[in-house]
Amino acid sequence: MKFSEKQIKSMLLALLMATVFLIPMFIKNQSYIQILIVVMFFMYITTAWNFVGGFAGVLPLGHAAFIAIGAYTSTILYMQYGITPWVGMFAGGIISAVVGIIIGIPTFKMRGAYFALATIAFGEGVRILFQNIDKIGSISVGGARGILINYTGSSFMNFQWSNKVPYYYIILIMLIILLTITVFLMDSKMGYYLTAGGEDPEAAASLGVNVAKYKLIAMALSAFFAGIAGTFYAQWILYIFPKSVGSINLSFEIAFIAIIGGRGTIIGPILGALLLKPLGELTRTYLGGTLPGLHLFILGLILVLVMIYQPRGIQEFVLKMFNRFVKKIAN
Amino acid sequence: MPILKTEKVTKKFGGLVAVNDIDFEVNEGEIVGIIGANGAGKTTFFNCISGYLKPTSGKIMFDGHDITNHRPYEICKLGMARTFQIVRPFLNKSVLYNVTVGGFARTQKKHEAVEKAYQTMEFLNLTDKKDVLAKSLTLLGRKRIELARALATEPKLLLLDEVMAGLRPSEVHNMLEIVKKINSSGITIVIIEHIMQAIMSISDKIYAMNFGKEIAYGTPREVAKDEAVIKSYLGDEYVIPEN
Repeated sequence: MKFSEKQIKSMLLALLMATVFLIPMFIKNQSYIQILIVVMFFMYITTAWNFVGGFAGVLPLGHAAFIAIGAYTSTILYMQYGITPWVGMFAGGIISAVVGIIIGIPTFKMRGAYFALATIAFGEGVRILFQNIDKIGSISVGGARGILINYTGSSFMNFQWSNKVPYYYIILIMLIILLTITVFLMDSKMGYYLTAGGEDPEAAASLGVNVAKYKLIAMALSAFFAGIAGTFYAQWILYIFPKSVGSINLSFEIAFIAIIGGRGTIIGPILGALLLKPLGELTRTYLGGTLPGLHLFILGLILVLVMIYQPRGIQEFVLKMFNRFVKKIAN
Repeated sequence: MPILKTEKVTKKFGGLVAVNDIDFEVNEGEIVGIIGANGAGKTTFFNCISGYLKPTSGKIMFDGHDITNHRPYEICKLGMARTFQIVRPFLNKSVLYNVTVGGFARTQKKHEAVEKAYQTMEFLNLTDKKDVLAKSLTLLGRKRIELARALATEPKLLLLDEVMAGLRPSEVHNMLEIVKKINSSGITIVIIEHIMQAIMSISDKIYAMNFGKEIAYGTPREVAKDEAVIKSYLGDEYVIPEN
């Protein structure tokens, strides 16, 4: 029997889907499941970042702020008003999106490094704000101590489980939804206009593209999905503090993953997280005691090598290999 | 009826008056050439018309609309398209992608934009290059993408900024044919060009500028004989070849 390349690709996709959905049935070790959740969490937030950092062609380095806003919003709503995190998730996403638009209006006027610097200032500003505010009126923010979410045992309404497997499925489904939205958007007018504005704003404007408008839409979407990730993080770890969800290291790590994987491509963030997160976890586990900080050194080394030899990320090389492989099976 | 009309358009950069009191008119269906020495203010004038620069004073009317304070993307929606002197295609994208971006100007639907892109590529003989990345094309190829992209927005008026500069003579000839073909499909054209043989042969009217000011306006024959044009730009009387 012979199959076309397209059929083989759909079959491989189906196989991949089946595998990721069945993994928890075979892997019983919770710490491996935990690593997989970390990897998918980073795939998700980097894909959200990619709307602005990839397709819109600028380099935002303050996305941790949106994750923090989402995490804090849903946590405060849950802890102090008893609102389920499932609702808080969307509240956090919407507030993040609004903040994203407010930040986007002045910063998108800047180019290159100036935009990156402005977003760093924004990200750090948000973190310092959370760190120094203990209470707003009757709302307790927790300052530098953060907020410990009370553990109620496994409960769907409370978005918490004693076992890691439900988290695995939630982040997996979140990732699939976000990727589907990305694929759909990038194949529409929105995607064409966003990419065109990212490549050359003046040329895009001459073709009728309102570059500023499309960048703001991208920012709103990106911040919305990052905010949702914040809620997931809070409910998964059950403890948030400004340096965990709002740190500049997190913002940088997202950018590293995207650049190494391939900015402005759909597969880039997936490959980047798949390569870097397990590597980071393993080096931290096995070498963290003897050589602390080595995983950051390795990250930097990989970044430099990728920038020199694969400036468009490892996706170019991986896709080439993949297509060659598919062709081989087809014939 | 003029499709484009400027009244006393002036653009100053600090103390420098780049465009000085320009009254300019283009009638529907015409090809109007703009000539002048380097630094005469031709491109600045184009940038004012297409919304990239806001004139210091004066008024610009296009197709019944006052577009003096319009932004480039709004002007494009009204039916004016332009190319850039230094070509700027989306380098990392295919020819089809580049032209499809233009095709989205009049529609929300992707299949309509793609169809428009195919029509335009067909018109400019670019179809066989549709999957080639813009960065791997020659200068002529890149100039054709820019043209195709601009045409895909379905303009009434097309501003061409030195589309022939840097091309070999055979390519200039090729480009001239394209410009004529675009014009005969009903699109009004304003063109800046230094290649006299090219601009004199296709323009209905020539507008000559020097130091931001109009120095002559008329048919190519009249302008070629004009004292001021000869002195500031041509250097010698330009004899239009008979054909």
